[in-house]
Amino acid sequence: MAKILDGDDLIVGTNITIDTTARTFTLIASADGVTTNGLIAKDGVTIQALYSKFIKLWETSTYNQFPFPMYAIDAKSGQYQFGFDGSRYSDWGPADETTRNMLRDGGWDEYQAGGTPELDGTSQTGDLARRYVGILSLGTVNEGAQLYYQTTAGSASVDFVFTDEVNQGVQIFGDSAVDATSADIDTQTFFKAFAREEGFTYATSTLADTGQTATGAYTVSVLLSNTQDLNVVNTDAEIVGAQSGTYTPITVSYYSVAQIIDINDPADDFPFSIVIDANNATLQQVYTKIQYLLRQDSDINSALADSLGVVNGKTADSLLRFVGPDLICAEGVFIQNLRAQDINNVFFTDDNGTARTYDFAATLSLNFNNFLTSGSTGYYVVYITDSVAGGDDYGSSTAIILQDNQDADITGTITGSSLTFSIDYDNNSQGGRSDFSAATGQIPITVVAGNKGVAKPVVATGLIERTKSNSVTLTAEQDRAYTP
Amino acid sequence: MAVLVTPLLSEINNADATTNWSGNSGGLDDFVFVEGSASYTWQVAKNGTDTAEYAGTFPTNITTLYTNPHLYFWFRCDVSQFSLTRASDGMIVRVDDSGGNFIQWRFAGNDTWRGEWRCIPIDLSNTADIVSSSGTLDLDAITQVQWAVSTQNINFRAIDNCWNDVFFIGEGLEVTGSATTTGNFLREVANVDGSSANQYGQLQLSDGVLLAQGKIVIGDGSTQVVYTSDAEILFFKDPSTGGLDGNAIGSMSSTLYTFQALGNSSNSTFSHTNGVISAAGGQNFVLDLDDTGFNTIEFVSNLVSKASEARFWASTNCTVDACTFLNCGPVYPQGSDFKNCTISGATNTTLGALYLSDTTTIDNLSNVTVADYNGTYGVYIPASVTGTIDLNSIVFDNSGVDIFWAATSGTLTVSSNTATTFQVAGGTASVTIIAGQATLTITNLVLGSDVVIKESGTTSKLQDTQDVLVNSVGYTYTYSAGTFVDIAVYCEGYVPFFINGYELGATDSSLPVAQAADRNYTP
Repeated sequence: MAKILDGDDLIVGTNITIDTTARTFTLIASADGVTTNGLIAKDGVTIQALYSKFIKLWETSTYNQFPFPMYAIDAKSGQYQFGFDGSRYSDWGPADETTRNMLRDGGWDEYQAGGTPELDGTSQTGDLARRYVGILSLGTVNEGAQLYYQTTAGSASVDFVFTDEVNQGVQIFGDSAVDATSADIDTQTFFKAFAREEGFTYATSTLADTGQTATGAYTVSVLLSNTQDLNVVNTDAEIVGAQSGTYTPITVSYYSVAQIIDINDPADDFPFSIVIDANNATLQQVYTKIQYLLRQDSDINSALADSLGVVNGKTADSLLRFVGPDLICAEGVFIQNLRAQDINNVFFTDDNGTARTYDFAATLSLNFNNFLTSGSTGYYVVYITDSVAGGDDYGSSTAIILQDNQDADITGTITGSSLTFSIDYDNNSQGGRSDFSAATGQIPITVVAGNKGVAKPVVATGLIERTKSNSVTLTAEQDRAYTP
Repeated sequence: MAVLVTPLLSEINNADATTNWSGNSGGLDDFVFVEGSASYTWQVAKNGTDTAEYAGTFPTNITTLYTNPHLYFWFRCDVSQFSLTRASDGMIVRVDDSGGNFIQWRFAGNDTWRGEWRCIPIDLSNTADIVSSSGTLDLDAITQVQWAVSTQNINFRAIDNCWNDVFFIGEGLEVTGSATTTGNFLREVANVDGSSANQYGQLQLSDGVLLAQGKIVIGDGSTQVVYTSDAEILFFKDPSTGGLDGNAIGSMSSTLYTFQALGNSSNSTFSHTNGVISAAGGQNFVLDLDDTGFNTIEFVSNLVSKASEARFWASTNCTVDACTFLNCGPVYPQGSDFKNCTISGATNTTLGALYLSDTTTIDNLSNVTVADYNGTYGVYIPASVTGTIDLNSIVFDNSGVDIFWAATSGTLTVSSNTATTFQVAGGTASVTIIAGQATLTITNLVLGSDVVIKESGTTSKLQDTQDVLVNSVGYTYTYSAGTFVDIAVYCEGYVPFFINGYELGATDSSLPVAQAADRNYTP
């Protein structure tokens, strides 16, 4: 059984009861959740169908001596009022929350007769007891998705009553002085809904997204849909279990004071208030961990100093999103400890709203065979083979060691089978280099490596191009002749 | 066509010659006159009485011609202020007959008149203001009229100081024809009256007010009259208060004044709108529009004051609408289309404010208010009216006896919603008052609608009409003041329509509803 759209499908005594004394109506869902009485709570009843049913009932002598229960302002925009017939106020309204939770496609006010009511309980004035905004989600979500919302900024999240797409009235006003069964509520200036499901893209919708500035007794369509998220590369179980070694160090820190970050230059000084520590994980791993954190109903803030305090993961703003291979950070979010080969796939916006990126960095990977890596005692040096200025070529006493994008010489101890370096291809002017074009500005290099007593010195040449895939492999023979 | 004025007067003499005139140092004056070409002038000396008289031919059928014959004479007296007071007989007029009978009436004095030209009426039947008399004056045998002025012992030059011009015996005007300017009928009559060739002295236009001192008959019963009077103000003068300081000049019968309509039963019409008809001082007049000789009589938005009675043609071709009758005697609608009128301040203690002569009269009434009838009756019902009558169209203010039924036997049942407490008086017969029924008709309904009428503010249904087959529903009720209902109209496809707190009226009423298509309803 689907949502009831036709008032004729509401049958008094079966799936709806009307108490003309208490001035309430009660929707009765099938006990087994199937279709024994034609109404399933999750599917519910459109308020328009309910209104139309009332119209028909009030054409009968059974009901027409009682005040008409409601007023339909506009079905299209979902504006309804209970306890008001367009002329006078009465105490008509839903009997309980269960009934309210079955109303679909609209928001509504619930009035109580004001002043001194007539004998029939009506009055020319009415007091607003409750107000519900009709929240409808646009788009589809994964089956079983539990969407949730906030009605005030910073408040705890509240799950929508039913899973999957949302079509529910959410109370945004209540006056206990008028309706003792209601809490005092007035949250009509804020609404935020979330769709955050494991393995799926996230969606968040605020009032501004819907073109509204406030909630009210009408329908507000929130943009909540998701699709499978291919950039999430591990399950929650893996994140906290088998892959915890990778994921645990990936953290996010929220600061009360902007952190000054240097991106391309030691004097950049860009402000960021949220800093993710990538711990040299891949971008997808970073993203996977962050998305995981944003579903946690707990504090996810790892800042030790200048901390913003508790940040609840479920209601925190989204931080990252992928566009193709690129990871886009929300405003004020910076990722530190990125892998060198990833830095040109990450895009930032600082606290001031200014887009920030790493300058382009060509990548140089040095691959070493086992003799060179043995004992982590090998060495390597990358020289410019043939400098533009001349006189400083490899082989001369003033040969130039190539510098990385942080102006550090690329030389050192071999600590792994593959070492990766970022080269500031667009700006490196060592040896008088002035042609930075991709076509003709390549940098010829000569890599020297050795591992005393294990590997014979080895020399290999290569070419730094404007690409992320420059590599030089150094394969050394075992050195059996060295004697200390 | 213009108005055609026929004086209901017999001209005795126009004083354009001295024939039959005599007087102290009398003679013809062709410089000082109001009518024709001259007047008769004479002299009054100081500290004495001087006279002038006319002894010509008089009609011998005065009492046949006129019901209330009056003497109307144009007179000027430049020594009026040297005369004795009116009470001291400063000025008197004497009428003699062939039998030696006479009556002398005082008509003015220095305290009532400054002596300017004036047409002075004398009621020839007046028994007051008589200075002296002898025998019984025979109006059909008049031989002489004499004027006398008595002066004080004050020096003034003895020159021509009194003038007589045209004088008449009669009682008013009769007018046929039509106004040159629609709506100006009476003003045009006054113009004819006041012309130098006529000077009937019956109707004057003074500062926009028409002043009459004789009866006015519209039509003569045989000649066409198309009467149109709009926003004309007509007052019947009161000579007893017409002089200085409200004192009298002349005299006027209390039964002379009539405003009467006489059609020719062919092509006459009568329309009097937005006007005032009243009488000055202690005078009153008869408003007699009860004539079958008109195609239509329209009497609309007029104020009628001090009519001793007002009668209207017993036909729905006679429309009396939105008029106020103030301080009048009984008003006789007599089956006219009598509506939206107020009768206030009834003066007749015997016949009340509104005389309902028959059931047709009653049936043709609509929205009539009777008020301020303390000391008399709101409605007088003659004994000929019996059975059950419906007085719902009359609103009473309960200021006096509301209903008087003249019958001495039988029973009259009166249905009325407009008075909570009736005072009833009359003969020995019984008058039963029952609350009338009224109907509220809900109109403009969409076919198939359900109409629910409840006691206001309750869930008590008074009427529940399901699926109407016509566009209206009637709710008949027994009127009770201050009764309110709530009305609900339901119809699939239309927004429920509510009227709450609607007060049920004393009379039938209609209430249109405006059901709007319900865009929020789904069948």
